[in-house]
Amino acid sequence: MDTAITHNKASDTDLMVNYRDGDIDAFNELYTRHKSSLYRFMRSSCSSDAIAAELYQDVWARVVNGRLGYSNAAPFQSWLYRIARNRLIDFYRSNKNSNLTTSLDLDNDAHVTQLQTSLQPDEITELTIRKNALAKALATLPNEQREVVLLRHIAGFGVQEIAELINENAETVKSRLRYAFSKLRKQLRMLS
Amino acid sequence: MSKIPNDKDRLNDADIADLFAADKNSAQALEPPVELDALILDNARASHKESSRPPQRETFRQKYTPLIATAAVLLIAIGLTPFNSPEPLSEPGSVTALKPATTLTTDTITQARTLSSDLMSDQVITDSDASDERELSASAGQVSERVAATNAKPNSVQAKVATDSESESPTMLSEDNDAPELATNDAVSTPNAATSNRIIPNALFPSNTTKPNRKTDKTPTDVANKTTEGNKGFELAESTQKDSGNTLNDGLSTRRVRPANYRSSPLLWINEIKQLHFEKNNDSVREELAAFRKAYPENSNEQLLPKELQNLQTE
Repeated sequence: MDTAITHNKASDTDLMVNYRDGDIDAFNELYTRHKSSLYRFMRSSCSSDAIAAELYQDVWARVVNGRLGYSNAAPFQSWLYRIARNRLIDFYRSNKNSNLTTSLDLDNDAHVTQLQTSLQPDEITELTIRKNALAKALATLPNEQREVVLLRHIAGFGVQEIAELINENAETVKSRLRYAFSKLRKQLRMLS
Repeated sequence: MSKIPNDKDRLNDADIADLFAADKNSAQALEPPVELDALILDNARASHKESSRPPQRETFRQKYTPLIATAAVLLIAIGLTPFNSPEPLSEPGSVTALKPATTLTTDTITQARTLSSDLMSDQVITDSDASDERELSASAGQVSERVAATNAKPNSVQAKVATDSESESPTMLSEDNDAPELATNDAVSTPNAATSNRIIPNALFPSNTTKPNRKTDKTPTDVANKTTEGNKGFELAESTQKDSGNTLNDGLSTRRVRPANYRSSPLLWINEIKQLHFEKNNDSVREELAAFRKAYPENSNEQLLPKELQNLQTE
């Protein structure tokens, strides 16, 4: 019981260190904290539930196998999503036809100069009701844009954290995000 | 749960954030299957148990079994390897088998007799000479037997046989009283003495004459060489006969005793004449040749003589 409380209060990095040192319960806590977001991240990056589940399991297996090499210099969440991103890249390279970009229109980045206005609350409510609207809209984004959107709004990373994770500068991340949001809004309005 | 993005970056994406939050809270929120959760957690526990297990120490058996097996194989291989190398086999019929001190064996004698019979079949001899041939072959056999019997004095007897190539009289070989003298002859120890250990039938044929009446145009030496390799004595004897300056012969010529019945057979007589010619006893040669021609006019055996003797005028 005391251990559970301790685990609840411990940071992700501390839990991972504890797990590395032999505390299996620390891993259980870590898994509980990040399973949903990671699964959504993987599912939003893939075209099917089966592929998402396989990649998701792969990511956790790599976490388990690489626990001995974990150092607390990097936050656990960054380390976790770096593993997930690398796994997705490997999957994209081996399956070049798995590009999720299925744009409903032929807009390209050059044409997305007109920023879309923010979605209104009623629009949001309506989109929420619609089944898989967000997933469909995300599927229309290029991989690089979708990635940054998911890292921002599912994993909760800031621009700088995203930049460090994908080895890009912050301005590039921002640019990608802006273009991604504009497309998302356009697609969502089309769906709604 | 997802974080609310910090808008300090001025992305104005609050609406997108709300959309994501609403999507998460809805019934359509994506969650990993329960089975997948259990699988991942079990994998983590199993990996944890393996890493926490102390490393198993290699037992002595596990550690040294390969080495022991290798050593056992090597020892078995060494044990199966024969230490004694087989002795080199001497080639049959090699020259070493016919050493100077080698005694004539029964096989050698048999070969000699066979050779004599073969040679006789090759020759086209007249009826008048047929009896002479038979007598000569019989005497050759007797001589060969005597040589085998007197192996106790190989140097003396065999040297005597080498020099007396044309003289087949048994009486000559019976004169063993000369053997000690011959034994002391320095020529006996010479290599020619070794070559004198030849087989008797070779003495029947002169080295420098041919027999035109033969069916085959083979020289005596060729016929002799037809024999097996074991009869290397033929070749060795050949070289002895050609060496007219052989000190052995020179030394023996002074001591040679003329056979008593050499005139009983044309072949023996011719042989004696040849021997005298070899000994450079010209007077005796002329005398004997004249007597031979008188006794056997136009005898084909005269052709056994050297050319100079055939052309020698005795009258």
